[in-house]
Amino acid sequence: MRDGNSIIENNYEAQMKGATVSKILIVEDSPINRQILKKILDDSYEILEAGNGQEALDVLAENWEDVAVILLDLMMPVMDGYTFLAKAKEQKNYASIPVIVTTSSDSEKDEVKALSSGATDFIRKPYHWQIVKHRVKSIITLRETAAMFNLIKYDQLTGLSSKEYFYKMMDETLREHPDREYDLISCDIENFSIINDTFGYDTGNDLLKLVAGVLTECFSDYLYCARLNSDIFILLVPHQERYPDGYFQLPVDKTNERFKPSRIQIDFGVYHVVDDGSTVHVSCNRALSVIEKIKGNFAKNVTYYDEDFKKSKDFAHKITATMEKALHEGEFLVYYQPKYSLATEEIAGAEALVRWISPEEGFMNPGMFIPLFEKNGFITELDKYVWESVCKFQRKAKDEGVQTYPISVNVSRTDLYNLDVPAFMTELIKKYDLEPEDLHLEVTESAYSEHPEMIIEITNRLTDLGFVLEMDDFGTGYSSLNMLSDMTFDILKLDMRFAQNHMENKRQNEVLAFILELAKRMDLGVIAEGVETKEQAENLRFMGSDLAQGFYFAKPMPEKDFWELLKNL
Amino acid sequence: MGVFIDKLEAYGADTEVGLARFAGDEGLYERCFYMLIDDENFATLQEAVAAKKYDEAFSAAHALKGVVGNLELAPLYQAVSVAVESLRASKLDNIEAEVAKVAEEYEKIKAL
Repeated sequence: MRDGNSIIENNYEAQMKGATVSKILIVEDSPINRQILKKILDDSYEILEAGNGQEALDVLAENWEDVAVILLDLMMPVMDGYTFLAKAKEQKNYASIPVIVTTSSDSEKDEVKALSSGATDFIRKPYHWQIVKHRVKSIITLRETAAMFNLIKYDQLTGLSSKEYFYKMMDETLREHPDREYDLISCDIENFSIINDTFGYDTGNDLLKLVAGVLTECFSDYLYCARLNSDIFILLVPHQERYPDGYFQLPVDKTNERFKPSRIQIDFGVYHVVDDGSTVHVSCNRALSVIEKIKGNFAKNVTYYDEDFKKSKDFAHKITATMEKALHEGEFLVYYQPKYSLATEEIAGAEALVRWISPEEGFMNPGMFIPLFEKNGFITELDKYVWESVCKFQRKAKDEGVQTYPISVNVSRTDLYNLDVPAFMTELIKKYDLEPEDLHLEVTESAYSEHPEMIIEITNRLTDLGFVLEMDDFGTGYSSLNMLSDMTFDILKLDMRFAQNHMENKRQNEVLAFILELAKRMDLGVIAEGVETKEQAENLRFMGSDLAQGFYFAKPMPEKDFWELLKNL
Repeated sequence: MGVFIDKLEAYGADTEVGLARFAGDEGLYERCFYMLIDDENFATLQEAVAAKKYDEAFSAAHALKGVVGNLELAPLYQAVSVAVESLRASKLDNIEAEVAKVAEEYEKIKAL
């Protein structure tokens, strides 16, 4: 198809509508010829007629959105075919409508001239009706296919490139210019779903269109810009070693100038594209994933993909890929950290802590994998394993006459969502013929405060079943004081590590005293975690903490060491 | 096949092709035939040649040629084609005779 670009680039919206009733405009001064053409075509299409070029322009002005093809006679009075053709091609709206000229059988020159003036095809007179029908049909089909390509090439809402087109063009660009350097800039509108929920989808769409415009305005040297999905955009730009200060604040300011309903924050990620054999998808993912570093950070709205981030991402992938196998093959080990009574300095219990000894990564502390497992849900599988390991330990101890003490296990908030914890625990206790008191359950304060009603319901059930609940990391969550009375738990765990020098810091000491007093009044036990010095231990004893756990007393130890410890009591 | 078709056939028209062009619609074929009879270009052609306005004559002849061709009126078509070519090439030595031939054929079809 000649002049394909104008078909593809102009008026994709109008073309989308083309699939409804196709109209054909017949421009022909002879009424006989018009009749004949109409006769040939009117069973399949709606026919519009014009007797000369001027009339044709008038008809087009009214109907251009639905006109699929124009059949044009070259020899006409008032305005001849060439003049009409020239005028039609000047009009943005009509320029892409295909024109088939009807020529006499002896005018090859006309045919050539017509084609080079922008006509798409020609039909010779006298009309051969099958040829007319087929030519018209194939041109309409071709145009609809081109319109389909528009759908594929452009994002319909914003007019930016579609995801597929962006990937394709980025790939081509990189191949064609291996010597040039590029950056990928990704953008994410923070809390976009809230905009949709609060102001409606139309406003949300307006914002997307606005941001699309702002991005192309601000990053004016971009090669390609696409909306990847919902509120995520990406641009391919020439590489810059350093972006000027305020460069990424400008688009945010411009957006807020023009968007009234609410203040908008846009986060940007910058990835310097490197030639390491990665596909464009991988490169784009790098640009997109790095934004997580600054999500919710009011101070920063741009971040750069670097080696450290890459390493942490690669590590996370590796973890995720090997976690199931690791669980299967016993790479997760349960360690035990004893808890001591401050009054008697005797052991009073222990906490079960998980470690991962991976053949690839070696010894790993929970901090390296627990957050990831909580995000991807694997934590529940791991926790079930830990709980069962502890039950086995307790059972074995009882069977062999070794003194047992309550061992506390961690219950993640993810577990509370994923699993019927009371039912599961009850089964587990029954299976190993233990008492609920043999297994204390540690739930972090933030789990309570995020979904109070749900958690309270579950913890009530657990308490009713006889389980003892320890609230972990007290003081680090968002609970208000009056929630404390609604929440069901028996023991408070305080992490001393946040108050390193509380000996010197009088105020921290006062807070601690207050918490201990509160606990006493509410009839709660208190365990101080992370006790590392004798002074801390002394102070805690003095202030009334019941139990303590920490390096000062004992480090977390492998199961068999803990076993020995208990045996030798 | 009606009377109209028979008459055209007798005249020398290729009615099979013509009818096919009209998608078998005899009525339409006939209507268009009568529209041709009323076509002013016949008169225009004669007058233009008489007044030696050969460009005008060419336009008229050319327009006629297309329509006559569509109606498959072979003898008339021949006559018109000859005139068109002469006018196109400005070979005017025989033009009066050629145009007269067109008029002759025109009378014949009018009589159908």
